[in-house]
Amino acid sequence: MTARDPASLDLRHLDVTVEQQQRLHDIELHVLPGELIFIVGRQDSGKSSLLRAIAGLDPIAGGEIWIDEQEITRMKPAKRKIAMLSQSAPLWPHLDVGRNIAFALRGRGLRKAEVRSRTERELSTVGLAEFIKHLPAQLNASQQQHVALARTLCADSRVMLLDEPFSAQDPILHERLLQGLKRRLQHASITTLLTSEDPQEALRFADRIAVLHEGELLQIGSPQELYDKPAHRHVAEYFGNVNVIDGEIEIVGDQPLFHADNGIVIPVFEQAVKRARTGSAMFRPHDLRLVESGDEPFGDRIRLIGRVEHNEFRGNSIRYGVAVSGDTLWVDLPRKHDTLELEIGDSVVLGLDPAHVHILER
Amino acid sequence: MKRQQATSSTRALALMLVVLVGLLVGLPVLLLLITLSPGDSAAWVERHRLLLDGGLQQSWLYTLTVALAACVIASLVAIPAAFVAVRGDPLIRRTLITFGILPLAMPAFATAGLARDYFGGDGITAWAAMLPGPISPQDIMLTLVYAWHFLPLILLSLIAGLSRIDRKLSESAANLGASGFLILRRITLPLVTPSFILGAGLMMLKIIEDVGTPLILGVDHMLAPQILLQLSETSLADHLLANQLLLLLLMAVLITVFAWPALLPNGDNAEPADTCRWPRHPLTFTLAFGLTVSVSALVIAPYAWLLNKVRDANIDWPTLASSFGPEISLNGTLIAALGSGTMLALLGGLAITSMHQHGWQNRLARFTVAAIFALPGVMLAIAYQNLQTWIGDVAVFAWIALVFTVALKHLSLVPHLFANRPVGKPADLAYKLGWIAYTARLWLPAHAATIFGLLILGFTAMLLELSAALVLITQAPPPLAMALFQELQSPGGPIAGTTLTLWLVVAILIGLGGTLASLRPSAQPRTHQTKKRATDKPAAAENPS
Repeated sequence: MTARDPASLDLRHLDVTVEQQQRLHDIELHVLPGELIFIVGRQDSGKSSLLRAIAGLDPIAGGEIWIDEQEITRMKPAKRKIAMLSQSAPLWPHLDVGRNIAFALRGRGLRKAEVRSRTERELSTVGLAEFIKHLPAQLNASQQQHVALARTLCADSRVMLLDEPFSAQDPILHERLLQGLKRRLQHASITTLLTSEDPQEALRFADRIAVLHEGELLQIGSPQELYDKPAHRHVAEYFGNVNVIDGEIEIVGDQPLFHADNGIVIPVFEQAVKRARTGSAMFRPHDLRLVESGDEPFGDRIRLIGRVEHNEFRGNSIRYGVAVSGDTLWVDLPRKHDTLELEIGDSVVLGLDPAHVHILER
Repeated sequence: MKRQQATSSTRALALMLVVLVGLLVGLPVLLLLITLSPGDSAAWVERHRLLLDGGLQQSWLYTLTVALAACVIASLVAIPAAFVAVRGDPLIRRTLITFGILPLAMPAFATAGLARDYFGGDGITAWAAMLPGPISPQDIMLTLVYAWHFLPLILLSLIAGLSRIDRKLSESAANLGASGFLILRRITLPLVTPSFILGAGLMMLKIIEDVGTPLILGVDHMLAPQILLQLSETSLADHLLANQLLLLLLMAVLITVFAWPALLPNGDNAEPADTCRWPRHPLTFTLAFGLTVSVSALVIAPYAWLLNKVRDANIDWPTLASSFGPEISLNGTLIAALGSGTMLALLGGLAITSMHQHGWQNRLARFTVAAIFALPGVMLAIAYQNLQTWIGDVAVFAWIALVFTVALKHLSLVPHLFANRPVGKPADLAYKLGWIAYTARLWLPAHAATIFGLLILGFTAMLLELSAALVLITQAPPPLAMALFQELQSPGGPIAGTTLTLWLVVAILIGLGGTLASLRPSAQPRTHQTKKRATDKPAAAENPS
């Protein structure tokens, strides 16, 4: 696979309805050439439907799909030059592993010897060279997934759609495979959409992440953007535990202030929220810190007094549930061997930097 | 239904199937083989001379040619119809499967009677005269009747095979740039070939062992009528007859040994696939609708013809019940049909269960079913008749043998027609229940359609069985199928209303069975867990807010 001009992919107001059921609604997505975008969301959020629609396997009810300057909305799947690997990674059961891969190489004017050497090379890449004559039924699920991925990569498409490509792999191998895949996709300049249900994996490997929820695209952005500044509560919750406090926004002078329903007041530094009247203040458990007795009285932190209700061992940190003004806030504190851990019932003072507070508008 | 890990009880079931089949089929066939073996060197020489006999070769050649030609003609209709059934509208699929099952409840000789009455005059003769070579009108009629009547065997088998091809297989190929034709040639056709072989093979074997149709159409050089004729005139010691039977046995062995891996490869992987459907388009719908109507008309025609005969027969309905005369053994037929249905349900259940296990029991069950598939029914009936000479003359033996023959012969249909009715077993729920509660609350409701289908198949197969009945039931009163056959042998004559009343019952039963067979029960019985899953919303786990 050699480097060449990567392709861009544009989805314009895409609606997909399958068997009278709307799967996707008004999807607007612009994928830059050579970009690796993770499509994330919970089960049945429409991730696979999106890939199937782009590949031409499900009919489009509305909207357009473009690759570079060419519209492919009504084009047959075989003509789109988009390779897709579906989740179950089906290999053709009557063809051996070698022929499964060679199928993707046909029609390119390659000689038999070239097809064979390319097949062997692809299989060596995934560590299955000795299985070239095996039937798919003789491989385990993980090996089948490897072969299916090798077959898809053989297709030399400029756009690739991968539907949870390593779901059958164990977690350690999973990470290594993703690293290898990303390197290869970058080297070959392949524009890729990859679905995943693992938010941590998306945060680590994606160039950008698109979050789908019940058929709608909630947000697309860089991993940092989605983690720190989610546009929607679902997005915030998807990427890990989050503290959310409902309240109202009041503009005092030029400064917006967030008045939580439980009485906490937080100055807001995000200019965009000035328009909103109600909203939710959101911050992550690691944004809270424990205020020690020797700390400066205020600094730039908001002080919250509470009582420990719950603790949870998490390896390198401990998560505490702290009751503050009637709400429970989650706090992640690093685990230190020289300090005592908090006990349930302990009174604590928590510090929160308002700059880490993100307002979710309603 | 995915294959399950075998347990000791399922292994015992597989062994039970093999032992039962060994006793019921293997032993009689072995004894027949001993009877047919030449006693001395002079007999060997005579057998060898007769093997090269032109008459024997001609009979085999003629039978195989007719069977092959009928298969080709039936395939020309069945292949597109199967694609229409699987890829087209679900209503079309249900219609084709329901009507496709109807001919299984109608003997081929009834279709022959219809063809003889409508086309047996000048029309077919004049048409046949235009054909080159030594092809007679009867040859054409025979071939067409077989193609017409046994078409559903290929159709149903292909529908079952195509339904199991997961759409993701063809979608993967399309995503790799393969055209529709390439997908058909490289993916779909190779995957559906075993199902086609099964359907076509079953059709050819049915034709080879059929007696009634050639006799109704006045063709006397087909293999099965010749064997029957010789059986009535000579004994099994006759060299020509022995040669024919040994050749049939050899054919059965060859089919079993060489074809069993291909015959039922999908019987053990019967999870319903997410099959590809054609987009709704007026042109495809019109074509599919036209094809469905044509196929349905073909299979309904014999029923309509017989119904018309009922109308012409001027039945005296008030005295209908008392008109079942001593010329038909109605009670015997019905009891035998019940026995056949029950036995098929039992053996079919064993076969299906054994085929869904991993390991040797799966291969053993498949080999056993394939061996029964390859053995012509006439052959099995003759083996039972021969057994009678070993165990002595027992009054009801002939009827019991008939029941065994019919049930065993239809066992090969079971994995293909019924095994694709998936029944999921929620393991956690089943584990908590005792076996009686599990059987009553989960197993029976889930398998009810399959059990009912097997009972109906065995019941109706017995009602229409002629070839085996002609071999085994040599004394009056004959079973129902023989009575109908005798009535149809007189062209244009009225049909006894009593007989046809029964055929109406059969038609209704089969209609019901067909409708049941066309249903696709859900992969999992509905339990509180599945209900919960359906309404589950993504939960913000651990989130305090």
